Order: sequence, then C-alpha cells, then structure tokens
Amino acid sequence: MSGYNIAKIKGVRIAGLSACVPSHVVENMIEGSQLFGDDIEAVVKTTGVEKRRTCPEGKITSLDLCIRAAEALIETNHFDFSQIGGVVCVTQTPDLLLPNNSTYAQELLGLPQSTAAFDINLACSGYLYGLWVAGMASLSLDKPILLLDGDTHSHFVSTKDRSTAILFGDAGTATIIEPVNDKTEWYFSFITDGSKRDALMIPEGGFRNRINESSSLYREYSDGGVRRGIDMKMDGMGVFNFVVRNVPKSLEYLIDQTQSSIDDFDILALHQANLFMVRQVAKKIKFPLDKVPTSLQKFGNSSSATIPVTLASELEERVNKEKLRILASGFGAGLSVASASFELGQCVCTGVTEYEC
Amino acid sequence: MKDKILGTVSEILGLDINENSIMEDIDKWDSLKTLQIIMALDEKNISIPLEKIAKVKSVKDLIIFAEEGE
Repeated sequence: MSGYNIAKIKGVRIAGLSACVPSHVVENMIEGSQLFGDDIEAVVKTTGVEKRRTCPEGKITSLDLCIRAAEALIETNHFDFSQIGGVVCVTQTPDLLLPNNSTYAQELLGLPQSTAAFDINLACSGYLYGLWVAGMASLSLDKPILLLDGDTHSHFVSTKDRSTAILFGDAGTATIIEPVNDKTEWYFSFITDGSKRDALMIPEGGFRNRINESSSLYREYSDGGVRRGIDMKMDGMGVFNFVVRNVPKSLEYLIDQTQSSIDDFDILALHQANLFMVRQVAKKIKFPLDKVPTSLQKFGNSSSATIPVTLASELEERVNKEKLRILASGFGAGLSVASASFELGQCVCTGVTEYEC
Repeated sequence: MKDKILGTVSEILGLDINENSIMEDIDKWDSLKTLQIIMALDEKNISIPLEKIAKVKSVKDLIIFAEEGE
C-alpha cells in the first residue's frame, strides 16, 4: 500500500493509565427532549450517547481533570514523579491562551524544574499523536513522560444545534510512558486533510476571527443549527464521509506494515464519535465487535480523551494483569487521523475516577 | 427489498413517502435521519455500502445503493 508513512518507536512502554470524568451526569433522553422532541429516543440510539459527563464552565477545566487523573496514579505509590522528564498536554480547551497547560501541570504536580513541558493542539486524533511524541521524548530524555490528555468540548457546544448538542462530554486522562529494555515496537500512521477544515470548526475566538461583540450572539445558520460564533459547527455527514473513506484504510495499512492479522490484536480502540461510526469502521475491516470496547454510552465524546477514557474504563482489570496488543485510531477536526499499533499492560491502571462537581 | 426500504423510510420520517421522494423536499430528513434509516435497514439485513452513505439524497439512492450492497 502506498500513500502513507509509517512511524516506529522501539523500547517504550505504558507504565500507568488513569482517567477522570466530572461527577455531573447529563441524561440525554431528558436533556435532549426539548431540542429533539419525540425523536430523542431515535437520536440517542443512532449516536449511542445515552449519558454524558460535563463540568461547570469556568469552574472546572480539562487541566483539573487531567491533574486528578495524574494524582490517582501518584496515589498508587507505584510512581516516583520526581523522576518524570517531561509533561505533554494534549488539549484544545486549555485554562488560558497563554501560558499553556503543561507548564502549570509541572507546578500543580510538583514536578522538577528540569521537566520539559509543552502542549499539543489536536482534537480527536490527539491521544495517539501524544503517545507518539511522548514515546520519542521518553527515549530522548531516557526518562518517563507524563502525557496529559483532556478536553471539555461540552463547553464548545450550542444546546440549540442538533448536529452537536447531545454528543460531547468532558474528561481528563494521564498516561505515563517510560523507556524499557524491550524490542517491542509501536507503529503510527497519520492522515491530514486541511482542505476539509470547515467540516469541524469553531469559527470565532482565534486570531483569524477574533472574539468580538457579536461572538456570543445566537444566530441561525444555513445548516439549521442555532449557535454562537464561539460554538463548534460540525458537518456530521462530511466528517462521517472522511472517516469511512480513510480510517479503515489507515488501520489496514498498519495491520499490513506490522505483518499482522486481525487475530493478532486483542483490542480495536476507536475514537468514540458515535456508535454507528465505531461499529461501521470495525465491520469494514472485519474486526470482531466483541473486541471493540465502547464508553460513549456513559461518557459521551470527550474529543482527544475518548481513547484513553475507553481503555481505562473498559479494560482496567485486564491491563493490570495482562499485556494487550491494541490497534487504535483517532479521527476528527483538521481533518486529521492518527492510527497506532501498541501494547498496553501489564501496567498500573486506576480506571475512571470522578471529579466532584 | 424496495418495499422494505419504502416502509423503513416512511416509518422513520413519520410520513408517507414514495420512490420519488427526495431529501431536499422533506424538512425532517436531515443527515441524522439518514443515519437512522441506514441503521434500521442494517437491522433488516439491507446494507448500504459505507462509502455511499454520505451520497444518499433520495429514496432512489437508497434503493440503488442497497442493490450494490447485496
């Protein structure tokens, strides 16, 4: 197969994995009934998102959730955070535009001042990019790297926009990647199509269209959505079309490049966009659905955090005991796809903890 | 198969539709409804090829694509 590049990392492992979600539960059958009326049951069935976790805007941030997830790892007494060499934060919902989240995470977690710290701005493909970058940094520094990945995309959503209103939840995660004397290789492959950036975007609030006096006014758009300039707009079918055309191919490319078959993988971990999409991608590559964990039913789409949330939520017991070979793909805004083949376990996984709110 | 498709689309849109109905003329028929229709057809063992889903604009499209998916 041509047209893709393969990235390889040899000699790293995931030592710890933890996720944190807000305690506040949104029941879509109730909260979505005003917007969708009698259709809400069918909409919930189609998207798969029955419940979501959201945190109060301006009070609890993705950084708070990530820090709590990291603290859960510290509390296991399996990790010495003074040995951490770097912290990488994947988010599109930072506390501030300046400075970034990762530098403040160094302070909040009491990491040494020798820590390398930077953020990565990516949406649903972000966790696998984060693993790639953290893996390389870990080898370069010969030290463990703390990968924080969290988003609060529920705050980007208009409650009056049918294309996004009931999909998004908030979450924060922490993953520790460390060098190991092991020949196991991780593989990554990426797809980027910036020509389709309109399919998923927040038009105002950046520096192309700065926030202005009308940014917070609700307007009706030609796609039928009622939202503000600072809310997310999504062409659901456009994204769906991109995903079905690219994600299966990207996964098949990785299977081919790793000289593996579907049976060699224990798990297919997909970005939790919607249940139909997850199942269709799995079916397309003939991956058995019982090896495709999902968590969007209870947590919703937390953007870049859905893959680690799903791994922590659905595989906690297994990864504490055994080594799993994971095939994964994250896909969304950009438009961007990151796919990976990596090992998870045996390692410390604290599952999903709740942030009281 | 055609009857099953017509029945499914009518049921999901809550309207009487026919072979010539197109999405543009039916306010209630948005992309979410298309996904609902595709899922319901899938449950009845009628498959629309994945790559064709975004191209569905009418009942006729559903029938043609479902024949391709057989």
